[in-house]
Amino acid sequence: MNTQTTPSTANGQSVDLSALLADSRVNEVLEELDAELIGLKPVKARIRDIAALLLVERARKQLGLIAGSPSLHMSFTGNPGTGKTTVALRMAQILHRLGYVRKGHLVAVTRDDLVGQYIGHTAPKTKEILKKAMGGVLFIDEAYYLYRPENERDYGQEAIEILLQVMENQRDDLVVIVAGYKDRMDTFFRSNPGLSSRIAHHLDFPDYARDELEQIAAKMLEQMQYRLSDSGRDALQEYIPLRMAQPHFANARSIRNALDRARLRQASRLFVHRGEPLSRDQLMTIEGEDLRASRIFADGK
Amino acid sequence: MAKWARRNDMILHLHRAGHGTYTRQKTHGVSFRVIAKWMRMAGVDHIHAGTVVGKLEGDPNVIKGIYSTCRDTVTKQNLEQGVFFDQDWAGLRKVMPVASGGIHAGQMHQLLTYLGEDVVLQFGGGTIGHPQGIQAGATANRVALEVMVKARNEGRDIWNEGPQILADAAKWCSPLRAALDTWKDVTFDYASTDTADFVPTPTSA
Amino acid sequence: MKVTQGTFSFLPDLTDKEIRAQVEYALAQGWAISVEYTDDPHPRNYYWEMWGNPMFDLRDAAGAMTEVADCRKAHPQTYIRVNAFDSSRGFETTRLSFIVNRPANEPGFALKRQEVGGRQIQYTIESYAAQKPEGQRYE
Repeated sequence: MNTQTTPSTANGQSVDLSALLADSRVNEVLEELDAELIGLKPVKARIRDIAALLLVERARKQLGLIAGSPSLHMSFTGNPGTGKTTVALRMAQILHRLGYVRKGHLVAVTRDDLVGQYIGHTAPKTKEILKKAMGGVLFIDEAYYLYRPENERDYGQEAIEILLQVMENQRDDLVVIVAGYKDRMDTFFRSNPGLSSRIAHHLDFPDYARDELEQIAAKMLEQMQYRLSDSGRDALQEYIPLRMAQPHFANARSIRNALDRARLRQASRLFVHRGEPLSRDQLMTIEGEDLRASRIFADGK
Repeated sequence: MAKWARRNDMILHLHRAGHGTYTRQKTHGVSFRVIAKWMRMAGVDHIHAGTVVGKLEGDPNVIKGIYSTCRDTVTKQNLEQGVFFDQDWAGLRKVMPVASGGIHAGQMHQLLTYLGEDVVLQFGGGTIGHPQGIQAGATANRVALEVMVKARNEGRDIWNEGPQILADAAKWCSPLRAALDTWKDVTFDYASTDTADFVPTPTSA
Repeated sequence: MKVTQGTFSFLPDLTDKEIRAQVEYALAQGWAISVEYTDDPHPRNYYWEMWGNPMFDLRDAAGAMTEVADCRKAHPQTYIRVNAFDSSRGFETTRLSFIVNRPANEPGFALKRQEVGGRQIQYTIESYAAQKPEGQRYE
């Protein structure tokens, strides 16, 4: 496994951060994150900051300086499709490689997984999820649904209390990441100061810009082994701003859905000419018409 | 007999005294692997299957082949162990292999490495011959087994650290200390005549 | 008299660190962990009370250790054991089971003789603790 770090650390004299970094292989994850996710500059910068902090904490510990186990619980805010789950997955790996969680897996849940249907159902349910997440990261999507002020007997409150207890007492065992829309998370934190005070890192995920969405689309197509024809590229460039203006725009997720529908239309288009032999090129290419058939263009006129 | 044993709340324990006359001959007889398979199908519960390290001879590979025949749900071809073809045992009950004959607490790390934990370890002389009596003998064996299983589960290298693990346990367990002292020099190390009828071609690794 | 049931019962009581190591081993084998307790130490008492449901899909021993701690808090004067269940075909049974908590005072067992037909005697054992009603045995 991991080789011990530089011998100079043993005598308590000095510590080599770059050796620690190389040793933890955290850079690989950070590079993957850069390559995998388009944009998200502020998020990536914050993640590097956190990684640096944790690395320094580890170095301090090696030299016998005070290194209280840092609070690692986080909040990821941002609109849907901005990469919160993907980043959480990478964050679990980073924390694992730096030795802050033992196993490095991610358990993603929503209110339904934590909150029960009747009295006495919630505590075991929440505890079971917490136990599964121990050694890794618990990712609670749309966490504000846990709190329903309109119903004071809502079982969500019970789940929050158990969560808080574990977040406070078993910091070494798991890291909790809560996620959701920015404004609703802010309201949620205001009404749950206990939770808010235990979350050390707030990461805000910005919406993607138009050119970033184009890059994301290109990347998705590449992964699915498709490509756009020239007319397809033009159509996509027109499509993106139109879709961005629509309600329920979910960033990368909307782009993925649009591409999935385009694949569907491409398949029907090819199917009509099923008598003729198809080339590899035809099977891979998405034409302008595949995208232009979208309801978005019809509404725009 | 297997049916009778089940009806009468008995375990059918197969002892193989004298089997060497027909299982280890290259010119006639039947390999013990075949006997083991046959007996598994017949519904035997325990079968003496060799110890590797005891007073009765046994080649590690051949013994492994016999143990696989008793315990696997699917046995893959393994020529060195004398298993010449894949065997899917489907729902056929397993047979508990028994290791007996000249084994003692001091060999626990070897026994566990070779035979695993799903085996009946019968310490006869290794219990009754204990200087402090039979109960102390049983305690010594049980303590030796438990420290070894515990150490293996904790990820220690029992093959190499085994004697040390036993010595550490002997510090707090006097029956084990007496057992280790009594049998410390007893080992049986000779080439087996029971081989897998298969000579592996040495590779230049 | 120290009750010796399950694996490791001839060893000194396991520390939490040692228990954790065994649970990690069991999880690495893909076994499910459960915690059970009882105040009846009879060796043929197989069915102990379940402390919560068996834990499937655990990735780390911390979850099981939490349950052990909770069970000890709720039932300090009982026997508590950790079981590891192997669901794989051909086993489908408990592969590892060991005691992680025992009452401070273990009174041991009485040997009972019963005269039956002819001059036969049947022997059985009874735990001194079990002479009291459930829940008051180790107070």
